[in-house]
Parts: sequence; C-alpha cells; structure tokens
Amino acid sequence: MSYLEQLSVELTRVGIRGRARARILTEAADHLTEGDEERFGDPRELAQLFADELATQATTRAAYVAFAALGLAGAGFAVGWVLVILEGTADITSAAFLPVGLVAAFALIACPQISFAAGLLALLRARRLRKLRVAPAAELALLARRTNTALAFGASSMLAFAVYAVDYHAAFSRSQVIAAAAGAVSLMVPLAAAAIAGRTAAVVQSAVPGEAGDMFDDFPLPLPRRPWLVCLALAGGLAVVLLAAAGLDEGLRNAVAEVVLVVVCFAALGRRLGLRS
Amino acid sequence: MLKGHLDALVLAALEAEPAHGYGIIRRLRTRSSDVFRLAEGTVYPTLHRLERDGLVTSRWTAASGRRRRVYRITRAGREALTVRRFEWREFARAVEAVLA
Repeated sequence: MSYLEQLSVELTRVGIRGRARARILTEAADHLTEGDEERFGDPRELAQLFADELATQATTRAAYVAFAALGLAGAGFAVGWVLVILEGTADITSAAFLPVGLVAAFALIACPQISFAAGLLALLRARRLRKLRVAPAAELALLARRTNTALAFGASSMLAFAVYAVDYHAAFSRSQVIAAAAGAVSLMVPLAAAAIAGRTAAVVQSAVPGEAGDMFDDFPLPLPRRPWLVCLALAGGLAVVLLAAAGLDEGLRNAVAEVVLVVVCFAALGRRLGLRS
Repeated sequence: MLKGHLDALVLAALEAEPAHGYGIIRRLRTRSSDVFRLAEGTVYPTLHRLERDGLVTSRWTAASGRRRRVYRITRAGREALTVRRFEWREFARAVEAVLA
C-alpha cells in the first residue's frame, strides 16, 4: 500500500471524508513530489492530528448552530404560547383523549426547561472550548451530549405544543389549532437541521486525552463544588419566584412541582449533562 | 516547544509572499538554519486551521500538471503575527533574564 493510500485509510478511520479528505490527499500528493514520505510523518498520527482539530471545531460549531436553532424555536414557542394558550386556557380535563392531553401538558412545562438548561450548558462549554486548538475527546463528547439533549427536548416541546393544541381543540378556534400545530411542526425543521449538523460533526473522532470536567468548570462564578447543594439552591430559588408570582395557593402548587421537576431531572440527567460525577 | 509556536512560524513564513505547504517548510528550514525539523505533514493541519480562523486564504493553482494549494496571509493574519511577535519577544526576554 502506498503512503497516500495509507493516509487515505487513516483519514477514513478517524472520520474525515469527502472534500476534506480529498483536499488533504491532493496537498500531500503535491508535497511528496518534492519532499519524502519519512519526513512527512506517520500517516496514522497525521490523520489523528487533523481529526483532533476538526472534531474540536465541528463539535463547537454544532453547539452554536443548535443554540441558534433553539433560540428560533424558543421564540416561536413563546409567541405560540402567548397567542394560543394564554388566550384560551383549556380545562385540563377537556382533552379529546385525556391521557395524551395530560402527557402533552406536562411535557409542555418540563421539556422547554430541560432544553433551555441543556442548551445553556452546551453554550457555556462551547464558549470555553472555542479558545482551544484541540479539546479532549471526553469534553467534546460531553458537549455533544448536552447539545443533543437540548435539541431532543426542544423538539419534544414543539411536539407537545402541537399535540396539546390538537387534543384540547375544543378550547380553541380552528385557526388557532391549525396555526399552533403547523407552527410547532415547522419550528422542528431548524432543530432537525441542527441535529444533522451535530451528527456530521460527531463522525470525526478526536483522540486527545483528558477529563470531561463538570458544570463547575463551565460557570464563570466560583460555586461550591457540591452538585446537589447547587441543585437544591436552584430549585429553591425557582420555587420562591413561582410563589411570589402566583400567591400561596397556586404558587405553592407550582413551586412544589418545580422543585420535584428540578430534583428528578438532576438525578436523571445530571451525569449525562456533566452536572455531577 | 516548536509545536506551540507553529502558527506564528507559519504566518511569518507567509509574510513576504504566498507559498504552498512544501514551500513553507523549506522557508522554515532555511530561516532557522535547519534547526526546525518537524514532521512536514503537521504544517497542513495548522494551515487549514489558520484558514478557518481567517488568518490565511488559499486557492488551487497548477504546477507541472499537478494541483497545488497556495496560501496567502490575510490582514488579520498580519495583525495576529504582530501580536505573537510581541508576545514571543516578551517571553524570550523573560527567559533570557532568568537564564542569564
């Protein structure tokens, strides 16, 4: 096998394909007409060097693309919420098919919050990594998990919105239901595009050693390195806001539900999102 | 140590005129009196990154029937090189002061 064939195999192994691989091979072929193979370097090491840099750049960029898509979807979601939900809040028992309606209503509350939290964590990590030429593979994997979680729950929010509008159609006008369902489904398009960008980025494999770190490496503020304490403080803060916003009766109900949601999500997703080790 | 300064060295090699990868390697070797001997292929990931960062641009040309990618430093690249030169001189002065 010639040197260039070896380099081609190694580039494919680390996930560099298409135009990027063709360009590297053409440049290497041109170089080797003047230089020698031994001086050019080991094909495996060289391919990995390309992959380490490309993976860092692609994963970080995918996180920014995802955050932009989530921002767009979030803005649309907020507008939809104001136009449809607040204009005629449905009685929770008035769903055409109650179990589906209840799940959609719960998802409508929980999914956007999880998506926002995961997206924010991804953005913080991406900002930290953008200064690095190459980032440890474990850090990139964590960033990709945060990005994918944010996108998945963002898409779930849109789906829940559409299902809610359809299942509680009795409470809304026909045009509201159609607008809500069509708007929610169309807002899933940028999220899907961002997910595809993320999957493409994940093909290139970095092999840089190092720890993934946790949320304490991401926040600019010095927090006590006790994840559960931070979780409870956050849940408590949100509970106080909800209490203040809706009074003792409804506010208390909302506050308890929020605390339970935050604690359950922290337990379920904490490791995946690098919130706790 | 050389790897940590490869960006600045490549930018400096392109400062006077554009060059292809092998030409850059040759300039580095000549200007360092053959002291800088790195795996020649490692210059390409650096060039590709500098291009992504907008510090160099590149285009295909033809050379003896082959396709050749020629790199040219940008204005942002020249500014980055000025900053890195200053940082290097500060660092070198500090090392010299300690070692002397």
